[in-house]
Amino acid sequence: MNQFVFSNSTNVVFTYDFIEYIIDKLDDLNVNNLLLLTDEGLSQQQLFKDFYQSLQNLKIPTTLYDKVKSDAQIAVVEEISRLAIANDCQLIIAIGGGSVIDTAKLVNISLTHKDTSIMNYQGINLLESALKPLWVIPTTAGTGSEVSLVAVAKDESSNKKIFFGSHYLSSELAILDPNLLVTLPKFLTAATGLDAVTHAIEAYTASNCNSPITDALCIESLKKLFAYLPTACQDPSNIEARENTLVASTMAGIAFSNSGVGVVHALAHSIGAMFNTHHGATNAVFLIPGIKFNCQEASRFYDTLSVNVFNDKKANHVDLITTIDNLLNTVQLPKSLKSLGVPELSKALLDELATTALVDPSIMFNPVELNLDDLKQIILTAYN
Amino acid sequence: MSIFKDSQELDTVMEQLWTKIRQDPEMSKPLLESKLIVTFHYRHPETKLTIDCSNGEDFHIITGENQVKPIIELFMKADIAHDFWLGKVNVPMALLSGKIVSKGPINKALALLPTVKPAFKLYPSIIKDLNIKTHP
Repeated sequence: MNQFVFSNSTNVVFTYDFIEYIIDKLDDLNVNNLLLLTDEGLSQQQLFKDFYQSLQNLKIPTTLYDKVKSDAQIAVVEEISRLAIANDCQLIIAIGGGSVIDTAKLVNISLTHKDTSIMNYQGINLLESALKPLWVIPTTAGTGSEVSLVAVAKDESSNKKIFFGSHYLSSELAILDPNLLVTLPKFLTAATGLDAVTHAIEAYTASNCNSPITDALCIESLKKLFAYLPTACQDPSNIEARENTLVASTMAGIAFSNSGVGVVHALAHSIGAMFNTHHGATNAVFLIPGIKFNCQEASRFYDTLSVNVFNDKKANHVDLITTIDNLLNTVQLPKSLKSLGVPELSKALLDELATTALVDPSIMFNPVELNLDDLKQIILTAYN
Repeated sequence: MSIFKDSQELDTVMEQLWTKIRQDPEMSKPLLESKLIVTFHYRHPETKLTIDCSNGEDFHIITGENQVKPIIELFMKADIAHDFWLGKVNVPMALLSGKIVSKGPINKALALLPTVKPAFKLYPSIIKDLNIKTHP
């Protein structure tokens, strides 16, 4: 067994009424100013309007920012931070997908330190003390950002993903409410769901840092995702499917925060930064090519995962690949970079994408060491 | 108790190691091409080492305080550095457990890893020649 460290500092609450839960909790606290973050799409939804109205009724001064962009962006983080510092916000509530939550995490760094230059905090384990309380309410089931110790933002000037990691970055409270997911469109349900599938598989096979605890989370998470993701896509208002995929996503999020991810994420970060492809959908494209590559040297990890997930002693990595392939067909996600909208790759572009992936932090957790040629080969395999 | 008796001994070891890295084109060429400036902050004993490859032609090894602004900073106990150069540190685990702190673009720091790996073979002889007693 690996030596391991396992931690989760986020309180996870599952509820069918997040508004009641938060209002009740706020009622017991003496919060003078609250920063509420969301995106434009969500701010137009009735459930969000009801939530905002409930906050108004409590008469807690609230600074609302509802224009968070997809992919947390450094410029947006700095803009919100200026607002939050000026209003002396004491609590952040973020409601949205991974971009909103990652944006909130980074704003929290700036707000706590009263320093809008977020790039000063780029790094791993750099934060030395607790940040202000952050409560998050995920509206997708996939990113795991509600419980993770990391935030990824895009620097528009360099088209690169910027990584921040710290135990202090995680939210104080994650509130899971499946009712928030029933309006999620099919593509986003599928794409974020495949992000969660990728987290669970890569966290299990991250052989340097995984543990029996992360393994158990990954196995249970995958069982739920394979069982319920097709239904969540086909029948969006099916609460049983929504709650199971939501909880599975959080479980995979706790797992990858403690054991890491791998080559699929490294490639998805590289492609996503260059072509603005959806992170989960890009993971979905690379998942099978990534597993096949790793199985050349490390199939044993995928074999044991398959045995556990399928409750079948004879199952192996081939069953896992077949199940993923069937899932991609069922949820109708693109299976190649080309169908994801990535233009034809020149040699120079291929080199750049592979070079970026080679130094992506995710890759250090991969069970197999890769070189530039390996990465180029996986990209080319995934292209068509 | 640390492997190194004091900051001076640690400085000597790291200067000798990086001088050998500088003399080896297999390692120095990619470092110079990267134009990176890396500062290592060690504690127990405390010292600071800056490797400045910014001019792309030769790299400077600076121990102690200096005015060079690093692109990447790495913070760790001196014993972790010692274990790293012996090839005994699980870097992902050291990052996850907080034993290594990095400031700046982590991807650039990770890019250094494969470049300096050949130095793992050089390090034991430096320790031996300086008669530094290591734990079993």
